[in-house]
Amino acid sequence: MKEFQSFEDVINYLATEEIPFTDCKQDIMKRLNAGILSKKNTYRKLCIICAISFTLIISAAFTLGYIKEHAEFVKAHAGEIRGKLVDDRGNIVIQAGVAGEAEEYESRMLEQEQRKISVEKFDYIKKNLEDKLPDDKIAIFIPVKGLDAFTDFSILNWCEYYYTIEDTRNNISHYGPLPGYVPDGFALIESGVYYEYENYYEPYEEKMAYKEFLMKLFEKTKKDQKDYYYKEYNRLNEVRGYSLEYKGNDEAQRIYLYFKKGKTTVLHDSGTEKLVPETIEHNGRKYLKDEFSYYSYFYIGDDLWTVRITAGIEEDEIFRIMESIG
Amino acid sequence: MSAHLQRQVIYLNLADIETIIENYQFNIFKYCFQMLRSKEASEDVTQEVFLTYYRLSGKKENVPQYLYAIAHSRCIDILRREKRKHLFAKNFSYEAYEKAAEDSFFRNEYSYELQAALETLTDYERSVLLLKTVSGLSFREISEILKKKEPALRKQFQRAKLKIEKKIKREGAESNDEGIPVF
Repeated sequence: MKEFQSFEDVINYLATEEIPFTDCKQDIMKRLNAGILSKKNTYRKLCIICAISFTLIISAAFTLGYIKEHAEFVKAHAGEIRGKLVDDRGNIVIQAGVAGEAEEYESRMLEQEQRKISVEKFDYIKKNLEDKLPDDKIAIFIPVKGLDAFTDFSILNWCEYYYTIEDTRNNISHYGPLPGYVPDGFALIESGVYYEYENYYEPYEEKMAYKEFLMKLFEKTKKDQKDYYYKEYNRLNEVRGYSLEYKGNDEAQRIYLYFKKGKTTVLHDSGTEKLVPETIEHNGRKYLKDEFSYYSYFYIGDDLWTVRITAGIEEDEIFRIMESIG
Repeated sequence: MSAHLQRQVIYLNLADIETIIENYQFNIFKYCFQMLRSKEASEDVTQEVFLTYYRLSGKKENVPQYLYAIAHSRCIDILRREKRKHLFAKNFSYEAYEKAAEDSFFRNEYSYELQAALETLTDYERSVLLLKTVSGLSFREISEILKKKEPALRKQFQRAKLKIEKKIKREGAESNDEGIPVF
């Protein structure tokens, strides 16, 4: 590996480096002609909506998915469920499948933007607010680019990162399980703990749609001649999930573990048509396995936790990790 | 859609936008690639930049600044999102795998060191550095793009330079390079 000798070296390199450029004019024109102006934007918005109102999306009930609470999520992505894992109580706890083509579900995404907050959701938030820590804060941020249009809507600090297993344990041990084993040579490089948050509708108006809410803030920001809207919200005490990332001796070797409280639905990108999740059993533990990950579940008291492991390691090692979780 | 947004659609025609794409897509892609170091993500952002420009812009003056502003905003979004590492993103592992596999193709003998140098910068510092040195824009033009005052940008540029110089010195002193995480 060569080394840069000076700042100028870096700049010269950046200015002259070979860029893997592909002409995308035709793709853009095609999308313009097709009138698909905001596919990515809509998708991004949906991701944001998914992130900040995960429970909202995941708890809605329709009929397409096997897990009925996730049916709207599946429907919104024109998803097709290919495999499922049933616990010993007869409940479907994990399901995996494939999302449809973006164009297929674009209209459904637009429907998502018009989602109205439900009375049930509001009650749920109120209940959880009672458990929040006094100093917990979460922020909402809407940059207004040139005051022409809102460009973003993000919750900051909805996730906290830790860099040792001890710190992670101290912050989640009351809530969920952790692995007791990882293969030799792997070390935790980061964990992220994800929290529930206060209702971000401010002021709360039961019949206000998400998009209307954003537009209202945007208009207010514009009127106030500010560059962005910013407000801190209270984060709730409840952990809704966490992730662990381990790095192996080889830089590219990673193990990702995702823990989620409650049932899990995973939809892979379209283009993975051959995805066939299968149910397997090892040492009395049930797994759902697809070409990317292994999934299993745990009960801590009455609380269901679903776990996903994504790693380029031997299957036996996956099983050992999963069996060490507790 | 509100009346406010409806009014913005559209003063450009398809021939206009085609010319704009031809003239600027390489520079926008290069900026995105050097911000994100990912071909796939840069292609996505580049497309989105022109679609957004077409959808939202009634202005025909200051085209490059406007395009860079959109690109900057999208890149910052992505970098921020990467940092959050969405646990619940539906296809996180698939995307990560695809990106790592594709990006590795473009690595060369400088890649890890460059990555290390760039990672010492904040997202804004990186953006200022690239817009100034690679895109060749003036601080006045960058201030229009980033909506920041020129003196603040000059400070950010100096800070970025110092950080990179410091990183290079440190790397030179350390014989044992532990490597850089895949971006």
